[in-house]
Amino acid sequence: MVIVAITVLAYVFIPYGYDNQFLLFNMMMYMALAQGLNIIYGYTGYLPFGYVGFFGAGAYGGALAIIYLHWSPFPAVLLGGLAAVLVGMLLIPLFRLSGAYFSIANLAAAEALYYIIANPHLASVTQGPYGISLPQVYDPNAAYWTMLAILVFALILSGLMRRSRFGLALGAIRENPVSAEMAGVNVVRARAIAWLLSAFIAGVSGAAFGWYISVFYPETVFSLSITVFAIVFVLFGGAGTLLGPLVGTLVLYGAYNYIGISTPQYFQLTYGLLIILLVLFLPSGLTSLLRKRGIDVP
Amino acid sequence: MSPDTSPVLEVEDLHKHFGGLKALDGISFRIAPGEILGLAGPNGSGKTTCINAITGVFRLDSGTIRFAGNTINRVPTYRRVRLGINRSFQVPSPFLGLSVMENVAVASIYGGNKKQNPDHILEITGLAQLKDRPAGSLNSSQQKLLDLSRALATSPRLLLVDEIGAGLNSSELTRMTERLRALAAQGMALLVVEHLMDFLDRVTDRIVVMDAGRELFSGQLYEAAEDPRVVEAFLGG
Repeated sequence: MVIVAITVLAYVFIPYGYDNQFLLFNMMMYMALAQGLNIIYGYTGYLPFGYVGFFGAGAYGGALAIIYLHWSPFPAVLLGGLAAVLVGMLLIPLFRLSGAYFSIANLAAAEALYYIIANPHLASVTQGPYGISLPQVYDPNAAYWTMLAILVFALILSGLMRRSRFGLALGAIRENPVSAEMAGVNVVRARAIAWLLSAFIAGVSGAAFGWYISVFYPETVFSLSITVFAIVFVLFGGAGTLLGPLVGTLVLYGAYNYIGISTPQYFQLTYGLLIILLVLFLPSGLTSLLRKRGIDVP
Repeated sequence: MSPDTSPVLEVEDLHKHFGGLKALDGISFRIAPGEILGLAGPNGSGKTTCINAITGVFRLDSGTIRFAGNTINRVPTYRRVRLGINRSFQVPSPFLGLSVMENVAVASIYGGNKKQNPDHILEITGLAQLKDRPAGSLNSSQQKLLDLSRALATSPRLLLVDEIGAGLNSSELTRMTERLRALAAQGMALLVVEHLMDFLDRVTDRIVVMDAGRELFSGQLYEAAEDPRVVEAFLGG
């Protein structure tokens, strides 16, 4: 609760003293995405390289609802979440695969979705490669608050899962799916629930992002760098914790923007070094520093 | 047959092949409540495959598994657990990153109709002192006990014990014998797969000897030792 409160206060008051709203929006978005990824990766151990597929599905689901159904943005954002859940349901058979095979198949699925949406032959439906424009609902401030609500939702959900019986079942599945089954856990269903919740968070985040920028192309919302960022932020902060993905995003996305603006020529170098150092010395993430000192990280 | 002695588990004519290998080739047996049946046989004779079949790890080619009178061939594993079937693993496989307490708690929450108190289970298996330790920090005989605790937390009526004696020292074996006997005395049916003949002798009421997925012998252990087919299967023809 303290973490949620601090996060909310920060995003409510920082805009009064700092006017780069787009950066703040992205920071919130990546925090939500990192938390969503944490639900499936940190709690069950499946690493979805194609996580951006849900983000893109959400962005397009929301935008198409605004364009064709003339929905107002709020329900459209929810519909974006549901579009991602639908994609997630189609991908449930991927859980037959394990480890890297799951990750790669998921990546392929996200790429396939990108090519379907970007296909010029479908331009009458998806606008294909020409992209989406939503001038009729352009309202960055409303989108900003929506994104904050999504972040709070993601944090509360993640926190509840961590402390609940369901979270315990997910932990068991992560450690050993066969033994989890022998403990009476319906492994297939529990994993699917975590997966769809994770997809939903990415979907609403994508829809809110689409609404915020209002002009976007398939490659904007299916960019693999979105997955990579979210994964790196989770790993950097510490997977399986509530605080880890937040800290990871704050530090790395902050550094990304700071270096990118101050000394862009050293950006890739510094960023790469930071990640190498982390992998070498803190493979369980920044929050593991606290845990080693006996502090229970929420 | 009176209700008390009707078998809790009946397996009939189980067949399962993996590629060209016939892992189960017509094995049948039954276990009554409170009975401890030993399952012996050389390596690769199908003992663990039997346990996997009863817990539903794979689908059988043919044959019937009845639990408490109901055919459960198509029941998924987690439901079989909730019906009252559980097992310990040959290689203990607790949730290494969770605490001892959490290992047992997850099974007691999800696994049974009767809610078992995890503290009570850990008292029985002697792990109460270690309940806050991560399971990964336990030694292998403690992990076997934790595996057993996880199984007991689901209040099983049938417990399948896969080589729980291997790697235990003699005093641990004696304690394990007493524990398994005490569980049977409460009405639990046990199937004990074991290589240690002495342990099998002390624990079981009767045994089935398997070879190549079939029953070779059924009866008392001391009779088995004199059966030429059993001797040949163990020592090689």
